[in-house]
Formats: sequence, structure tokens, C-alpha cells
Amino acid sequence: MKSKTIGIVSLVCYLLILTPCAYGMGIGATPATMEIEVGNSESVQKTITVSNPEDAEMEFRVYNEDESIDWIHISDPTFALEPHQKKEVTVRFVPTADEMGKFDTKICIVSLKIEDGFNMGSGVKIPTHITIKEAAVPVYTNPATIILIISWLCIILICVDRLRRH
Amino acid sequence: MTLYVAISRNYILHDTKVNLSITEVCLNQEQGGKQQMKSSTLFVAFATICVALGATGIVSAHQTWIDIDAMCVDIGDTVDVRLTEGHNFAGEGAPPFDVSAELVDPAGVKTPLNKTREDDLHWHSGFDSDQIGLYTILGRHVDEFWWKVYTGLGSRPDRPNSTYTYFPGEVNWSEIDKSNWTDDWHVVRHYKPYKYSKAFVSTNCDFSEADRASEQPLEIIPLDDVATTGTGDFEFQVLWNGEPLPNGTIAITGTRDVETKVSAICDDEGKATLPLNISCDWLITANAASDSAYWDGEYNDTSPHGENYTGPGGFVGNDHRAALTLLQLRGSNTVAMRAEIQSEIQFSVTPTYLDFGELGLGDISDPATIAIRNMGSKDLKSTVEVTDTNGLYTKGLRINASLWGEFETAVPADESVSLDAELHVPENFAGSGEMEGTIIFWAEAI
Repeated sequence: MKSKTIGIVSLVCYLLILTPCAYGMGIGATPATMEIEVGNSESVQKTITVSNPEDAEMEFRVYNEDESIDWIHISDPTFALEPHQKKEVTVRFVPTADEMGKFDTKICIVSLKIEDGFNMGSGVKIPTHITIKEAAVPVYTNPATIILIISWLCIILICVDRLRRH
Repeated sequence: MTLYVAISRNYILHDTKVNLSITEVCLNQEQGGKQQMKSSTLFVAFATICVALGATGIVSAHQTWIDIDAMCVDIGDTVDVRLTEGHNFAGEGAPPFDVSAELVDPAGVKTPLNKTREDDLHWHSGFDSDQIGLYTILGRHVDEFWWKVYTGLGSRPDRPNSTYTYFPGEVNWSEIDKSNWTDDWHVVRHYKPYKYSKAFVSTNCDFSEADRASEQPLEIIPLDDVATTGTGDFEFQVLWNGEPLPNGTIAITGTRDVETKVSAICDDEGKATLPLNISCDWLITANAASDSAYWDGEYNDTSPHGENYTGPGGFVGNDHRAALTLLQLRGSNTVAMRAEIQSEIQFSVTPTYLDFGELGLGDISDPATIAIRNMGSKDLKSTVEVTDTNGLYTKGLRINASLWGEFETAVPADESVSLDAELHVPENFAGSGEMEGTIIFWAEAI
């Protein structure tokens, strides 16, 4: 009876000691989704706030799930956050002149605890819908506008020249 | 012109360089740890003249102060305390040599703040603000000995208008290039700087008790409510070992940046008013007026000097400075407001480690319970991704009796779900020993 009591007390003490040390694999991210509209040859950037909700330092990795899209750039692909710390990560969308249309990908943020054996991690996927439109060409750089202006200048010069001769 | 006037045993005026607008007033102290400056009409009058003459000659010495993120914090917050040194409220590095800090909690209990780390800019410490009320953070930085040497106008190419050159630590005088120095160069002071710093943090944004002295040797006390900083005149009191010094002894300065400074001279009650008219962070500093008061020490007539110097030698002693950090309060004069926006997606998985135990071919492990807690503002869809190099987990891991690849569950906001994970070891599995693998719990807003 006495040894059983000691065993129970020991178990309770063990749990009490362990309980404050327990933490999970947590992650936080905002926004939950992203809608991007960008002209080809232009760039747009969005900010993702990544947070560590746990009581221990965690390491994070941010990447684009669709590896075929190479015009999405992440400002900080890997970083560590102290307990309850937040960090803003900038995602830049810089499509080339050839890219047009609609694209769907997911920006993934993952926190992984690496140990021997079976590792655990938690991650957030942010669905990202991107619409790439043809970039509007400014009037003054439009070739047709430039030709038109030069033509009008030539006509004016010819007229002035003729007026002088008369 | 150099003027040496002996006033009394305790007060010695010396080394008045009118052309430099710098006058050194030195206070020779009796032996013993506590030094005190006593009233002297002549001293006061002379110090006042010195202030007037010496304004352009005051050298901006290294100041040490406490950096904190905010003066109003929530109960339970961890307060990051950082000591830095620099000029004009711009940190330039972690203070070297002897640095320490103490915390006075709302109950008045004083405890040391241990150094947690140091980086290029700060000496770090911190504490958990778990009591309601005002915390006072006290810093102390004792630097190495410094030499202040009169080297003459134009002796410093980096500061053409400066007539003094400063050296830290040990100096090999024979190896120093003195080609630009005047021939009556001499050590003015060889001093050990003591720098006291103070900052306030409150968990209820009530700073009504900030006007209490904290027993720092040289201490700046805000007499007005620090919540009104930046709204106009603000009265301070500076005490030396708990007592005011004579009128004109102490100069107090409020610094926002290199271009925004206000100064005043403390009266015989140690009080002075600074026009803090800009709502911003202020660093309040106090030191001997006109950089000309010696706190303690004595002359050393063997101090290094040029061939044409005929003075009494350099003064060897200590120097004391104080700094008070006053940060802009959110919503001063009104009710401070605070809101923390929840992350749209935030969740936690426990436990952080799965141990399926020792298993044989064809065995099924005991189920391990996994909890997913949704702490974000959106409902979540959770899936699982498993990777390994041996096929044990990718082929055998089941979540809620389904192969992991088929598993998907919804976790409503502010709710938790529990899952059972089992490992089925394939009959034909070839490996043995500890098997490595990775499981990631993914979440997406729905």
C-alpha cells in the first residue's frame, strides 16, 4: 500500500514537472489566401506575417509549391523565430514579358522539428491566385504614337519651309 | 589664457581656457566612497560663467542608456531590457567593461537583471512583467579609465574645432604622433566614467510613482507625469546620493536626436525644467555642467605634458553621468488602446514526437493520439504529408484508420480535434533498426 502511494505521488510529480515544458509544433500565418493582379514585366509584392505561437524557438521555411514558377521571389526563405515572435516575409511577383494568363500556386510555410527518428512539422499553405495581364504601354512609349508625332513634325516642317519660299 | 584658482580644499578651479570656451571645475573629494559637492557661492558663480562660456566646448561624451520597446506593457509580457552606448540618442555599441542592471518591481523589491546575451549594439537582459504597477529598471555601466588631453586647436583633423583629444585605457605617450599638438599639451583629466541609467515600464500605464527615488548615486527623477512627455515643459530633479547639488552644478539635457536637444541647469533643489514640446522618444541626461566639475580625485603633477606646460598636472578621478529613457506613450493623455489581430491561420500540433515503439514485421503499433488545436480566426482543413527513404511510414502510417494520403479533417476556429496515428509494418519490409521519416501537418483556410 505504501509503495503504491509513493508510486502515485512520483507519477504526479513527474507529470507536474513535465507539464510546463510541453509545447507543440505550431505555426501562424496571415493572410489565408492571396489574389494577385500584375502586368507582365511589372512587379507586385505582398507581405505574409509568420508567427511562432509556441513557447520554444522554431525554425521556418517559406517556399512556392509550384517549382515551375520561377518568377515568385521570397525575401526570407528560412529564418528562426523566438517564442511568440512574428516576422513579415515579402513575396514578390515578377512575371516576365512572356508570362500571361492565370496561375494558381500555394505559398508554403513550414516549421519542422528535426530529431532522430520520426520528425514532426506543421505547415500552412496559402492558396495564391495570380492574374497576369498585358502591361499597359504608356502613350509616350507606344511606337504608333511616336511614328504619328514624327510624321506630324515632318509635315509641319515642310509647311514652314514652303511658306518661307513663297 | 590659463587660470588656476584654488577655492578651498574641496573645490579647485583650474585650467580655464577662455579661447576654447571650456572651463574645468573640479571637485576634490575626501577619501571614502561617498563624495559630495558642497555649496559655495564662488563655485556657483564661477560655474554659471563656465556654463555660459563653455557651451560650445562641451564634448559630447559616450552616454549609456536603457532601450526598451514600450513603457506600457501587458501583464505577463516579457520585457526586453537593452543597454546601449552612443551619442545623441543613437546607439553605437554594447557598453564595454562593467555593466549591470537591477529591477525594482511594483512591490519595491529590487532584484538583479542578469545578462542574457550581447550583440553588436546591446547588452541584453529581460524580465516577465507579472505584477500590476510600475517597474523601474536601473542600469550601471563603469567604463575603463579615459584620458582627456588638451592638444590645442587644429590638433584633430577629424574635429578641426576641438581642442581636446580623448584616449581610452593605457596610453603609450612616446609612440603617439604629437606633430599637430600644441607645445603646452597636457592631461586635463584621467577619469573613470560611472554611467547610471533608468527606464520605466508599467503594466497598467500608471506612472504616478515614477517620481520616487531609486537610490542611484546620480539619479534623474521625473517630477511631472511621464504620460505628458512631449506636451510642453517638464520638470526634473537630479539627486547625487539622494541630495540635490548646488545651483549650477548639474546640466540636464533632453535629446531626441543630434539636431533636437534642449538643456537647462539644475537649481539648488536639483530641479530644472526642460521644454519637451515634441511628442517623441526622449533621452534625458544629466552630468556636471559645462563638463567642468570633478566629482572626486586629486591632481597628479607627474601627468604627461608638453615642454611648455606649467600647470598643476592632470586630475585623476571619477566622472558620473545619468540617463533616463522616456518613450512616447500610445495615446498619452487619453486611454491607451491596444489590440492584437489574430492570425488568420494559426494552429498547433501536439505532441512534437511520435514513438511507435519496437515493432516486428506485420505488427501494428499502439495508436498514438495527436491533437490539432486551431488558434486562428479561420476554419481549417488539415492534411498530412509523410516522407521517408525506407517506405516504412509512407506505406504504413494510418491516421484515423485511413492511409495518411487519404486523411483530411476540418478543424473549426478555436476548436481542437484529436487523431489516432498507427503504424502498420508491412510484412515484406526489409529494413531494421531506427527508421527515420517526417510527418507534416498542413493547414489551409476553408
